Amino acid sequence: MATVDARALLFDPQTCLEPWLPTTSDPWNRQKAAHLLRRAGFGASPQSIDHAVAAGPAAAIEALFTPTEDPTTAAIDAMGPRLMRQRNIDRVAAWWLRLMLETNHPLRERLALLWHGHFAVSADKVTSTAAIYGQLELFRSAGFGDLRTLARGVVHDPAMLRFLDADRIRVGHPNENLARELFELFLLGIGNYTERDIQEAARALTGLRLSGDRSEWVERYHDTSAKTVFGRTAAFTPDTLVHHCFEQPAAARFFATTLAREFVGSQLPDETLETLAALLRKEEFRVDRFLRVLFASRLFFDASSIRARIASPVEFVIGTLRALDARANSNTLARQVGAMGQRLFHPPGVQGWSGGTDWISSGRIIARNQFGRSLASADEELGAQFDWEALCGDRSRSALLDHLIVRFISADLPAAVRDALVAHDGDPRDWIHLLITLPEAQLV
Amino acid sequence: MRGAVASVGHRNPLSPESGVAVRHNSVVLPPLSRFGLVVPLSLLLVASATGVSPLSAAQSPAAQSPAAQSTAAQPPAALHTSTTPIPLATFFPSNTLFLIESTDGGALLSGLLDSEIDDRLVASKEWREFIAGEKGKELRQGLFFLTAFTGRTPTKIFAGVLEGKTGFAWVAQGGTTPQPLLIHQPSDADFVRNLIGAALKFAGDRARTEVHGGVTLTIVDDLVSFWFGDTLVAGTDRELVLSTLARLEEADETLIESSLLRAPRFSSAGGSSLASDVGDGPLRLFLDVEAVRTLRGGTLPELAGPLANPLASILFGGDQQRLREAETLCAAVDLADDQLKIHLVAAPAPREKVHPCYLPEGARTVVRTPSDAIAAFQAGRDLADWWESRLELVDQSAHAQMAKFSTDIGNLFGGKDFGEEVLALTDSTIQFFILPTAPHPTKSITPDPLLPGFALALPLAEKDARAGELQMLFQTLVSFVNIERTQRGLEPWLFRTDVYEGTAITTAGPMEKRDPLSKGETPGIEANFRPSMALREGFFFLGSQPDAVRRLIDSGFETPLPAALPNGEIVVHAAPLLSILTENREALIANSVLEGNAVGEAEAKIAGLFALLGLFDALRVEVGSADEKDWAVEASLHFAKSDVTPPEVSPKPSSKRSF
Repeated sequence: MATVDARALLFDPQTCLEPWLPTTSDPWNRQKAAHLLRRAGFGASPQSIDHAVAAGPAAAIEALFTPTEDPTTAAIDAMGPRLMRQRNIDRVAAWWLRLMLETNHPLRERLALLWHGHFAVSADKVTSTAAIYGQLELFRSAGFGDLRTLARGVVHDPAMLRFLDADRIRVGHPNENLARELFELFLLGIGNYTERDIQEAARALTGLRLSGDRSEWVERYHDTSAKTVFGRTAAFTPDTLVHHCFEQPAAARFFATTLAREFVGSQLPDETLETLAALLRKEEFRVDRFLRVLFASRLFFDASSIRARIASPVEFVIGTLRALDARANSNTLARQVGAMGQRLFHPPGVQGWSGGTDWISSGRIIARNQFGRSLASADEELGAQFDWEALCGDRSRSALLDHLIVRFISADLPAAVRDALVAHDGDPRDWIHLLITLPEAQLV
Repeated sequence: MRGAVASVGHRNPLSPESGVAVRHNSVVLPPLSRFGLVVPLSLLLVASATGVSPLSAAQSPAAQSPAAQSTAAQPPAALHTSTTPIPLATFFPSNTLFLIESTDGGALLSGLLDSEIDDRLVASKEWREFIAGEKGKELRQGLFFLTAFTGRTPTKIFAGVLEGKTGFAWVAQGGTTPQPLLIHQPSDADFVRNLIGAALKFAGDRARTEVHGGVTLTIVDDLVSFWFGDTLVAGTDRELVLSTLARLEEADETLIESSLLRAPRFSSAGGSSLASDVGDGPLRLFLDVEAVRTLRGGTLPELAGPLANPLASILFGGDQQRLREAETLCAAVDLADDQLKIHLVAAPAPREKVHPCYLPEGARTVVRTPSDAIAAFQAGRDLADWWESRLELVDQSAHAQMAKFSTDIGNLFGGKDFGEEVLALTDSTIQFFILPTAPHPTKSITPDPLLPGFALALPLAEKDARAGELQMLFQTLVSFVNIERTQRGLEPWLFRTDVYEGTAITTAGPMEKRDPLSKGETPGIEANFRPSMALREGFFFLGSQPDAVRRLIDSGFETPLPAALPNGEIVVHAAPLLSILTENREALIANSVLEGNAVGEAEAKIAGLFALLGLFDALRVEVGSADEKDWAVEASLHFAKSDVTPPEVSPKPSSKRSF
């Protein structure tokens, strides 16, 4: 029963967000540091993990929010607009994957990826590479700060307006699409609004117009009359409507749940989610402040949170390459991630990707397996580049296997699994393939 | 130009002034040492060292070698009776698959090793990794020894060894793995013999000698070699080497004509005209395609695979299929002081097997290439005929791609038969030009990436009679663009017509008042396009910008003699190409980064590409006129002009030297 007590204590709304303090029995070690870098980024090389261990948990968390200057990140970042102008959305996807792989600020890209799935639009319908790229830049720049600012940006976002057919809504001709998705999928969640709220909100959104790849709000097309939304009557505009949504208790709860699913992983009791919602309100909906507290908490470092979620294809691929300190052909990576079910900028619908076990359906797990084989076999199309010789060093076969286990799994494997790997007497490079297709490697 | 001194004002990338020695009559060989072939070569040299005096005529073992005679292939009867010098080609067996023949490998090698290209190779990552590895260590030790032993630089040692006439062949000698055979007549046989003799000592127990008749065979591991007079023969297949010896013995050293090294199948003497067709450049390559295909079970996708797609079928008119079915391929490579020339001749399969889509011979009018064109492509093709036989012209693997293309075209020209109702509007020659970028009308924006202008010129089958239909096709094409633009919320392109030099040019693009872009449009690659068309003197012009069409109008027409019109011709000018690439440097680097290169690597690669392009002036590839029997390609790479005057080329070293 001790376990139950411990979990009860962990999810206790009063204590779950207390800072986690290393102890002799539960120290700050490589496993904990790897968990932090995996969840807050996309994983890291052993050197980076060692660096985080040496720095200590507080410094390691702070480094996530205040990265040092990095010319490589800056150079790749600057290539985005140029590639966007080539009007090939898959090239933009490839560029973003490359940025995720090389960036010194992975938390920013992870949050952008989260918002990309949350405020989902598909390039197939939007058709404008510039608009899709503009939305990504919104997620990258505003996804880290005040959620209200982000949501306002989404309401004005050209890609979103085109995706939800809200590109020419004006007084007398409201469109409920945007209002409905705003409440149901983006800001509040099902059960927190009425049909009447949607109809009224749709009037508040009139005046939004799309002009090419840009949006504008044309006051003369806006319905200036009073609207009653969530029981309050006012002459809501798109911006004040968004602000009003965040005044609803459901908004904080909705975003706290979204952020907890992403960063904590495990299913949390309602009381714990309420605590997180309260934190979000207290931090004025600022994602960075919220995450600072969350990453330092007992909840985040609890064993139940570690490897508690199925890695998305992007997490799986980028995490594997970062663990190897490898580069690869990003165009191929974008295709392979797509084959695994997460073609960037092409979510299956406005609800985004389902995630969870959907990531490892029988077809998609084969695609992960193929990626592993490409990586291990030095497949030319993938073009993975990493220093295998240095990785082997003067290690014995057994030591090399253990080293690879640490890189990819960051934890001990069951003895039977390790024995099976030891029994493999072929090319040790095959271990890369075998390890990253283990069930343990599908978790993040 | 071959044999002439490098002309002043021309910068030869292989010239000493640019760190590259110009050797007349020299050609570029792959730097053997850079591709891991030095070690086998050195072993070959070691294996070939006999340490014994070369055979004299008096020691001719012809009568003393019954064992050798018994294993040797019987030479032609003429060899026994004629007193005419016997071409050295005779000593390559008739089952030679591939032969490289060089008349002065030493000059080629020293030219290359002193070149800028060599410097770049040495600086390359691949070379650094090789030299740091185990094989590299062996190479370093070997070079140290050779340098100490001869007192010469490695370059001069290798040049000295290779100087002379060299034939290196792969022979189908039973089994499925071809066997190598070297026949080398060094200019300075003593130097080579002594060098090998000294090096052989380092082979230790791995080396042994064996007297075969009057000839001493030197064997190191699998390598078997011998000297016959001043001719060195080496190979890894003992039977092949011995049969070569037998043929030499039969011939008598005094009757051997060393000027020709071709194998019988590739030699004029052997009954084929290919060898004479290909010319007498200092480096020649011969490939017996039919034999290689047989050896590999009938497949040889490398020859035509990359060309077996719909676009290539237009460009080559089905020749890629002929190339695949060719029986033999011969190439001559020649390096003059201002250009590198490659002449390729193929003996194809019977003509009826393919549908070449060539037009009837005769004079035809073409658009004169604009003087500032970046590139020009021209081919005599019956496009309607090409469409009709498209499935015959592409590889089966490309049929799906062709089917999709057919569907797309069908959608584009709904209700019309693309071959009979669209392509049949055109006649004879297809011309495509890549032209300098014209400034955008409003100059307030530079498209990114910045593309050059493109223009297509097609002669009409019935002059202006079907102008209306072409106009309609152009409008159909633009309407598809407009559908996409409308979906994006952009204003559709409108048509406008301007008259230039008496010709109406119809252009599709944004409204002038909204130029350069539709309201809200983010500038991108499409800002390069304002598609334009015109009809002039029986020609249909289609350009990516009105300026491209205007340039064609300015250029005018010409009617060259039929002989001056090849089946196909591509000309690319490096300087304007480099200019447009430089404009897009950042985009090229970004694309390279996506391919997996680090930012620094990508920058270096693009800089390397630019530097390489800077060495050249123009590339010209010409597919020969439709000969009934053979198919020929002439490629010439012209070197860029430079203010640097190439220095005098040092005279060839004496053929007799000692150390």
